[in-house]
Amino acid sequence: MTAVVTAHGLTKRFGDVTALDDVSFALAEHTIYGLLGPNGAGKTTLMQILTGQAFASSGNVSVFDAPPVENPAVLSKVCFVRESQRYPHVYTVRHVFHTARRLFANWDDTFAHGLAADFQLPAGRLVRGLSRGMLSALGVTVGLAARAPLTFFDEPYLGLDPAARQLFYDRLLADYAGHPRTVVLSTHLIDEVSDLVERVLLIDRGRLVLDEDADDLRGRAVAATGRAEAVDGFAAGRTELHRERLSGLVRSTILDGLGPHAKALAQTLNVELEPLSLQQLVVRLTAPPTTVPPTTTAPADREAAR
Amino acid sequence: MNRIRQVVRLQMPAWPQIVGWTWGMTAVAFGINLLSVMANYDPGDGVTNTGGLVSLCGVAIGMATVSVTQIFPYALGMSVTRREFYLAWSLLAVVQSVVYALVLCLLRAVEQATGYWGWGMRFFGLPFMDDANPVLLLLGYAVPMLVVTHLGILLGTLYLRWGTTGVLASLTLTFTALGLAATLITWTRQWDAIGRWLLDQSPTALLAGWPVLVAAAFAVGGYRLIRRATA
Repeated sequence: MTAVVTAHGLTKRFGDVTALDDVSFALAEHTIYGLLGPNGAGKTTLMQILTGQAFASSGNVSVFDAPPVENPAVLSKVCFVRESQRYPHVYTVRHVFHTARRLFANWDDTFAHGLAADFQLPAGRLVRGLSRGMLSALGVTVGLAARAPLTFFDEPYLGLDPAARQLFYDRLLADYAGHPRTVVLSTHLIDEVSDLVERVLLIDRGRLVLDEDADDLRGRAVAATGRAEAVDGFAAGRTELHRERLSGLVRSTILDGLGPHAKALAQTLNVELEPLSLQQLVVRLTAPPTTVPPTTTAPADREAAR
Repeated sequence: MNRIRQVVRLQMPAWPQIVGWTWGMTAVAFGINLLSVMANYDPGDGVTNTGGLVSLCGVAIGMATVSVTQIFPYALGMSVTRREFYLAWSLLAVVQSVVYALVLCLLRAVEQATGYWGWGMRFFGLPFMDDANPVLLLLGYAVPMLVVTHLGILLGTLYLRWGTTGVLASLTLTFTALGLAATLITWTRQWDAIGRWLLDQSPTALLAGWPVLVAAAFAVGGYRLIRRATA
């Protein structure tokens, strides 16, 4: 793979808070990434460092084979759409498009105006007068029409209704087909993007928990439901992420190692198996520790799963 | 350079406001001064100096500060580097200072042609520039404008780095340092020497030479601050 971004031992501290803790990964060109994790996990901080907007405390970052900080050659290929992007008070939507056209080399004006029409963005309106949803639509439009080889979307659709979000996914995929690039999509609406993203990066409390192909992840975890002894029998030797009791039955979330005989074993034990969605998997992997220790081996297994 | 020009244009949508407020407020200051001179008018008084240009400097500082704090976070979001932003804003400061200086030269000419607005009020002209040649006159307006604009930019970068606390703390420290320096000069009876030194300077050095160094010092300070600023 051709790496567009590489990070080694990336750490960011704010006083005694460690926002990113020894994070290492690479982003390949022409791939759509889902950057997932709970609030405060460090997603925005990570994207700010990768785009030269913030400074790492330690570790190395390389974007298009060079450090991104204050590097015009790198940043001209990067677009970062922030949920909390601030716009000058006097700017209208039209002003934003004009400046974006001048600053992004691959900007497509026709595409931008098409998107603005789709999202019903009023060109003459002051940006500070836009609703939350319209502000998101503006960010999404800039991010797509900039066609930057490396594009970050940080919670791009806060306040957008489902129809507008679907429009964003459709336009992103269609444009991506014609103009392949690396897209990093940070979001909490995991089920909505699970078919869109090709690879998943999961961060929790500043640490990289997962870096895997989305297809592999979809089959990686199951929920096993049955009587307690039966589930114990099935879960033995496997990594259990979570366990809950529902009226005499036990429902256990199991990661990895299903193996060829798992289905037969489940049938024998009368344990019902259902695949876990990406969103449920993320919830289980990043759940606060208080909800877990069902079995004595669980904590160690959780660590191993990381 | 082309990139810097594009970054400069980020300020374009704000120009009507910047120019409008700057000159609008200067016009109000002019009007109030004129009224007060008229209220006190005695033909035997000769020409009254107002020092009204201080208001123009004050507004220029404020405009530069607001422009930096408003547009920097947006520029950073549009993949502009801090260096490009700062160079663009320094360039803007130079252009704006020269344009404002030309306007002031023009207004000074009008002032003199109208017999100090008919009421003996000197608002745009400065007494110590009466003998200045046109080039020195232009510099005498442009360089102090450059100083105050860069001061405004510096205050803006202080805000970007450390917020309101940073600006207020810096101002407090500066006033403390200046106050202590003045006390020290008084204590060592050096005011006479300083006065003589000032009188020894040529008008060019006083109006354009030394202030350029002050502007450069502000510019270097602002540049160093903004290089580590985040939005």
